[in-house]
Amino acid sequence: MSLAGSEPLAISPHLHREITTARIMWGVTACLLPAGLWGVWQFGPRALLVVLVALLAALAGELLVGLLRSRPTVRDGSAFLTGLLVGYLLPPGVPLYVPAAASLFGILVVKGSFGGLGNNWMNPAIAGTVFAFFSWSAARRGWIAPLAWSPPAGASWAEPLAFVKSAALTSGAHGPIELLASAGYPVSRFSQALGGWLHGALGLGIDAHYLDLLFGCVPGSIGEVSPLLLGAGSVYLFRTGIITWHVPASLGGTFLVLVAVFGGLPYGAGFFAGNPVFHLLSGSLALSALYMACDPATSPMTAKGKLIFGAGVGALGALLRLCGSAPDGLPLAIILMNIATPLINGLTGPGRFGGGSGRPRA
Amino acid sequence: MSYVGIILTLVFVNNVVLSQLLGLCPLVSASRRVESAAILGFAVTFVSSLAALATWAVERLVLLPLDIGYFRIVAFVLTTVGLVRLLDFLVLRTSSSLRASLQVYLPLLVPNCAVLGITLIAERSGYGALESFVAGAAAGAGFLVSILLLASIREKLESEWVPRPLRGLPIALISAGLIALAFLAFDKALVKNLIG
Amino acid sequence: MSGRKTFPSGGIELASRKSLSRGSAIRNALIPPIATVPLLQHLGTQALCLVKPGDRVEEGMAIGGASGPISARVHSPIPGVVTEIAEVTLASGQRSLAVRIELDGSFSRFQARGWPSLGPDLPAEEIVALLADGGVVGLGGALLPSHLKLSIPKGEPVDVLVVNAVECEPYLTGDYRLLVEKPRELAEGIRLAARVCRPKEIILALDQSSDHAIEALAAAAAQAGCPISAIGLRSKYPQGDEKQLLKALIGREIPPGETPLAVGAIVVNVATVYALFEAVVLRKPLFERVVTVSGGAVRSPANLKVRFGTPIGSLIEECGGLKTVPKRIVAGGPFIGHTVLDLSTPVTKGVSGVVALTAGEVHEGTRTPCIGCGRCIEVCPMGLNPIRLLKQVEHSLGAEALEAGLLDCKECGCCSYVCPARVPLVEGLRLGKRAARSAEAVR
Repeated sequence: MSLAGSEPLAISPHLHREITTARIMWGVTACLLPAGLWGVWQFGPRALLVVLVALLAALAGELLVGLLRSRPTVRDGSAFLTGLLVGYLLPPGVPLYVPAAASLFGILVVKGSFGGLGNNWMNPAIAGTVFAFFSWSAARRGWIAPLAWSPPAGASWAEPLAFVKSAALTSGAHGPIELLASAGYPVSRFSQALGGWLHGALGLGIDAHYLDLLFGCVPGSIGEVSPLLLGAGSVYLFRTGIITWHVPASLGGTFLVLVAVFGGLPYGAGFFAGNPVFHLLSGSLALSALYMACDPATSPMTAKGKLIFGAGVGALGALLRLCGSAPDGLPLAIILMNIATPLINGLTGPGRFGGGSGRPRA
Repeated sequence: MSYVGIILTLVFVNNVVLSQLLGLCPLVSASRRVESAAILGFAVTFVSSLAALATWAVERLVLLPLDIGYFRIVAFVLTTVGLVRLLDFLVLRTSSSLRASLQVYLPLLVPNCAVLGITLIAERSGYGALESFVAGAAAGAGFLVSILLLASIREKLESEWVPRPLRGLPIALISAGLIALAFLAFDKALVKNLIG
Repeated sequence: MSGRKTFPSGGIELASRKSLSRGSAIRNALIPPIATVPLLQHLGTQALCLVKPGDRVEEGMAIGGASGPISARVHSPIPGVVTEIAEVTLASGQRSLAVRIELDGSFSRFQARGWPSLGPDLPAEEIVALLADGGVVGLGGALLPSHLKLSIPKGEPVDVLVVNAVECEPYLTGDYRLLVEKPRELAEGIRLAARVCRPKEIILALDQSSDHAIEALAAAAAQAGCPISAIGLRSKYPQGDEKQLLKALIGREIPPGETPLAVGAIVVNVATVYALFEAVVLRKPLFERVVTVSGGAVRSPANLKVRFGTPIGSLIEECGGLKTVPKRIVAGGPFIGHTVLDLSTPVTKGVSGVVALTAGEVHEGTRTPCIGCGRCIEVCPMGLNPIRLLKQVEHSLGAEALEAGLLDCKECGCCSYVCPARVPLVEGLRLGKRAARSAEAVR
């Protein structure tokens, strides 16, 4: 009996781990969905529209690239993921040309021109949104008050980081939470109730603003607001080995230490007076540390490299958060470290067995 | 501005290549290998720091007293070219082997709009002698940073399947553009907040 | 018994799937009515054909003679008549001349009824000569003729003789069954091997799951006057490879391009030790070996003692046949083995297993672009960067690839196993190595 001709000659090894690229991409997408659904619920149909436009533009861009290269790649889930992240990074009230432009720039210029998945060295979603951010001032605004703030809060409030940055030095407060409280930043009734219960039942005095930040009851970018849901989604990614602890740990650790040490300076409160918890819960830290900085194509391949990369993002992120003009510097920090990834890859590598170096005897 | 401020601004905020778009020709010529990028980067730093100082002297000692400010560009070009020729001569005298290995970079240094641009900017900012020197060095360091980053990326791209029409120069420029996009994160406010 | 040592970097831990055939005692496979015996079953040059069509042969008679400095003899596994000499394709894809023998005659020559006691007097040279006569080669996969491996240049010290019973490939259990069933024979074989290479110590290397199997063997070895220490190593692929084995056991790394002798060690597979015993004590040449027939597609996995020249298909039939259509049939272990396309391919000295895998075991996929996850780098036991090497090979950057260690690659398969993008790393690196070697040859 001959089996020849049934399939091309298969080469060893004849076993593989079950995991595939498509599973990784769609797995990450699935873990991101709860946070996005929350954002759409809190910010209304406009948010959904922004995300959909970003998705459609990303998929259209990927189809175009596939046509130009005669090789369709939409199926592998990476364009969908890029579009989703673009939508998540934007404020819900931006004009719709913003997500469209950001997605198209990301897919066509940042990913497609390099040859597609795996060849690009900069994160396409972040590069696209940064491109939009610096091109249109409308891309920097467009905050919508969350549903949880009811009764409606009246005058439009900016997201906490932006609010805090513009008012820091003049307010006389010693930290961001103090500033929010003294400026009358709205709090959701849910968090007030929860805070009261925690105080009464467990004796924990947690300011309601922290709870708002944790659950995502504040204005903000669509997918960023809820660190709780983002963290919950990431549990699956850790368990299946899709992401490892290296980047989140070194990013979070470096960032928190620097913020703790220097965070008080913009408020004139001296050293070691920063509020790491506030910074941990606000802006894109959760999304960056657990999802965007872990993107395999644009972060180093070795464990040592990942630690260096994470530390670099954390340090630059802290610098930009505390001193930069953009309210949330973390996505910028990621693309800055993406530039260094090839260098880090070249410098960190496992030691060769037997101490080999240079050309061995054939 | 303090020296730290000058350095931070010229390396990150007003990077000669990434913000001011000067010196793109030497950038793409020498960025195919990290080694050659490093050599050119250090050469540019060295030359521009001396050039900034030399042109400051020319401005103070020749242009101002004779009130021939309109000759500035010509004078600075001549100064820069002469300086590079002088350095080349000195290197030749000390070590001909070193000169042989650096020779290929000479055409990238002599008419180098980055160096010229740096000298003109230093003049316009009204820096003193030492400040000019530091500004020249800092701007050169900015060039060094950009070219090293671009070179490491280009080395990686050599073994990627970049679409054929974009291989080589186009993808290098796109990459440089993306680096510049990221560097927009650094702005004057950042430097001001950082150093008070 | 030491703790769970292992090699420090790279490697994969995975389900061994050995439970399918572990408990199945070695039994003789059915004698094939026609045996197709290749003349190239070893590393080196093809054996010279000593017979012609029409000749009568006996079980264990030499039908192939050594043809050069690196070659081995080949013996007939069955009594019968030579019907033809033809070229066949081996499981590895190599072409070789083969002697086709039709079964006819009686078998009584090698019934083991107790073995003659040799005493400790057999000199090393005679042992080596008997190995050469018997056509004994390394049965762990390298197929290096054993008389060459054990001929140690005078004055070269051997610190340790390692008997390799790790059997790190999944599904394979032949070596394990030898440990359990033939401790006295193995002990004698170890003693004889030690007479030749005179090591300072002898280590029996096992997988941690086989700890229980060595008591009888250790006792027998001690009785025979050559004490062994047994070390149960962590179950990690490719622990059985001599480089990783020596790193785990004695902490020494064999430099690239060298043999274990460079670090004062000799590594012999336990099946080879058994073949050594048979050749020297029973004066029985190598014409059969233990083959594990296993895999999700085989109805009743088993460990069979198979005579060379038996078609692979008949082994599967003996084990109940295929219960589902296999995705792939592999000769050898699933990591390094060769795809079997033709079930009439003969079993040879190098076939340690026949594994019929289902799609659910293979998890095949089509190639997609590399996403830069770095899993391949994490698992490479040789400390290489497989994807970077592959990209250099694919972009014809040969010099860079050689510089980065292309020739260190042992094609163990760890990188391809973990790759989510199903990048054919081993395949590409193999082609790259071949191109590099032929370029060197031209130079």
